[in-house]
Amino acid sequence: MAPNHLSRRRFLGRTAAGAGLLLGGGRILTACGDDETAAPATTTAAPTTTAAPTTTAAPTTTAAPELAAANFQLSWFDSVQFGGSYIAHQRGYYERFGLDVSLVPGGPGVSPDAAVAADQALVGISAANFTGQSVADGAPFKIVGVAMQKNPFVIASLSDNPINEPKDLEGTKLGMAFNNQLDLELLSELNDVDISKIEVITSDYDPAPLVNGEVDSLLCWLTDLPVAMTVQGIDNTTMLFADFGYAVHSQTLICTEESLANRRDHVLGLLKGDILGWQEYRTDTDAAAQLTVDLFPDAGFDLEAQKLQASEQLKIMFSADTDEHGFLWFTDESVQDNIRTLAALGVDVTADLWDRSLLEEIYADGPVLS
Amino acid sequence: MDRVPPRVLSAAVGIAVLALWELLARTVYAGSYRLSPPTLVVVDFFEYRDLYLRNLWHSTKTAAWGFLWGNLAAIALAGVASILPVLRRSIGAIALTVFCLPFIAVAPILRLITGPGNGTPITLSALAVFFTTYVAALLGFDTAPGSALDVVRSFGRGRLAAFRRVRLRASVPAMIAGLQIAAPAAFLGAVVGEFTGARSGLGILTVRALGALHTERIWVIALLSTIVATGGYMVIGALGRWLCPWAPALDVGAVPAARQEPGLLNRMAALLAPIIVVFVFWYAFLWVFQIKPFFAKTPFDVWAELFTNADAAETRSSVFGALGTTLWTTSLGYVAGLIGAVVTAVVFVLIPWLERALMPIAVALRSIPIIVTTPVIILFVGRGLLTTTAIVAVMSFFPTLVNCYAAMNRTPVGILDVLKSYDAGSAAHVRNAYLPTAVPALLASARIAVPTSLLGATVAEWLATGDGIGAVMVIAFTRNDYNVLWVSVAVLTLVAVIGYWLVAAFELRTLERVAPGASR
Repeated sequence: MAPNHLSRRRFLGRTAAGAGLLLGGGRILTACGDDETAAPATTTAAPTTTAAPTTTAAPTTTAAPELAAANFQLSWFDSVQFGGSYIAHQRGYYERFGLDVSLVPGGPGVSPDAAVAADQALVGISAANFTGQSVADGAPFKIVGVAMQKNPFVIASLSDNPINEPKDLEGTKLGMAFNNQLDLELLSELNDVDISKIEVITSDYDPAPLVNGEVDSLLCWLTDLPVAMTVQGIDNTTMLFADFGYAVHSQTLICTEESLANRRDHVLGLLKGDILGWQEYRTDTDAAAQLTVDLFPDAGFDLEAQKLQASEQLKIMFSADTDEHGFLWFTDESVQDNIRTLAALGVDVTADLWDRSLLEEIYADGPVLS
Repeated sequence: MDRVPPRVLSAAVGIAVLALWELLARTVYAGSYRLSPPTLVVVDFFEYRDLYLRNLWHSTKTAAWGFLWGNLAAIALAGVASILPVLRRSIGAIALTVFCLPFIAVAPILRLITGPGNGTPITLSALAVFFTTYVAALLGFDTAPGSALDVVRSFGRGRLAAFRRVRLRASVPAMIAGLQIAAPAAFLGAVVGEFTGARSGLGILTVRALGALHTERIWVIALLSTIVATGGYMVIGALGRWLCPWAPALDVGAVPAARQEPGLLNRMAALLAPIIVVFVFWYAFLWVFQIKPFFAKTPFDVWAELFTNADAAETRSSVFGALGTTLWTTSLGYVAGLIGAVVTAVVFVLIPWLERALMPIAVALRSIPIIVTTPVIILFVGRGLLTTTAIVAVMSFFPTLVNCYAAMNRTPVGILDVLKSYDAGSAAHVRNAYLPTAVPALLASARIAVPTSLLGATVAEWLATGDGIGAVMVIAFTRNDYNVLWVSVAVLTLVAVIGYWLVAAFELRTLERVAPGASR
């Protein structure tokens, strides 16, 4: 595996460099690549000079040769959603475990599962339903950690016309992205809701239809659109899917079975660094928000929105289970719940999809890593 | 009215539009998070000036790299096609196929090859400019004066020398016209590419602004994109006029389709060669980049998924059902855009002061990247089937308008004189002079608009409506269902190529009847 991966990288590096040389612009072209993939380009003095070699850039030397390079594929654009990982990166927690981690942003055109399967990332952030589907299609993944204990899906509504429970959806208009149809069907089935009485309107990542009264509610994440509305002074109500029987692990850390076998130490180190970052995140979410805003000046973040998002997501990332066992932990019971939910979503998986051995090793001495 | 200078008129119309915009935003649309008053848009730009300029610079830089690579490749291949005519049809097929590929599905596949970083946006941007520049460059090489070529030949020199000494120089005006169109296209490619995970750029900033109810930001980005795309278009145009002031203004969108050679054997070859070449490239692509089987699907995999796999029936019904929806909404918008463009061009010819006032705006609007237009259109028509139709109509309207108007404006004076001598009215002018002269431009625009309309439709389905083949591709991608993803790409590309061919065939037949000699 590793040799193949390396040769492909070298090949790409060479073609990029060769193409660049053609015009004498190789340096600039590879520089473009670096500038994107190098871990958070910062204005504050984060240790980003040790950019990992990337597929577009020709292999570069890292400052500390003993560090192993690893890409960590995030599931979405940068935001405080990944605040703990930014902290880990900035504080050098990954390096403490021998890793030079590049945090790679995602987006609507990025499948973290695909990036991991294609060896472009050692670890990726996905969700149990996506990973389950990939595994059913023959991709060799394991879920090695669960960052969101509760699924972040909510029904968000305006507080003067609230949706407090699934039954309230009947006779209303709901705005949601088209690929959430199965999720809505499942929520309806679990809670005895007649889905034919819900009028669904396609809408994605935009609170305006709710604010303008075109719909009565939106299917979105607890931590995105509701936060945006609150920051704009719009009172809103959220109803978590997870509180109504919808058990799907989210922000799950995945890697391939091969990495687990051949690069186990690296995966372990990445998890450990990440855990240190998130433990620190939990103690001061405002600082994590501030760090996010500072790290990504081009995103145009609103600090208040990042702070609110940072504290809101504590609700779904930490639980009695993580207090007892440690961050990223998942119980056998929650795995069984997931298997049932996924089966109802048409994704058949077994408990083999999850691998807790790394976490068991990390938390052998108690639920806090130091 | 006729004596008012055009600039004053444009300015007056511009101010009137801005005033109306401000009024609507502050009354009907107040607090709606849809329409921001222009004053607040300007304030927002200055408040976050550095942020906007950094992101604008990032997207522009990416687009510039794609522009460079895409155009170099296109011009080089056009050169090969010119020197070795035997390869012309095959290279043309590759170019057209690339033009017909659905961006939104190609982006994630490219991301798997180029990895994280700027590789995908640059490649996408290069692919976006490839076809139009290829067509323009080839046209330029072909229009080299016969007398000059004869001179080269009389010196006993070969095709290579003819290419270097005559064709290359003769091609400059056409090439410039091609590069003009390429500028906004490169920008679109770069912005779509950012969706594959970037840290900077206007594309991401748009998505963030939508989610954060930051309405002014969407408008600032729309305006900035318009300025850059239009600016690129105009700067290259000015460069062309400076380089070759003798050359007439030329629009590559109005280049007639290439004529097919007669004879059954030639027709068969014309049909088979491109198909074989495309298949060879398909395999070569998978082999060169060593893509893992989980992602890489061959033509046989696509065939199996459509016809022989256990779930083939399911795939067929989902892909073709969605394709039906897409084709229906796209055709509506396509036809509406073309008809609207012709009607508007007629109005402009008949009422010159209106043309002087509005045409500069139309020229600017045709350069706005669809990805930026889409949120603005969503703001007005909401999200539904109408959104796709509206976006497709916008995509086909502006280029067709510009081309048809330019053609009508070139109506031979002799014809107009005859009409004048009969004291013919406006209707007779339109029927007997303007419409017939616009036919070649209309047909050429209609042909180019087939792939761009489908591109617009899939983007709209992805960002706004959630149905049609655009949605099927996005769902397949999010669920890592690469079989369905490749099937959708193959089917949609084939449909676009066939649509392009059909319009081209219709164009040739029509031109032979109404304007013999116009086709080449």
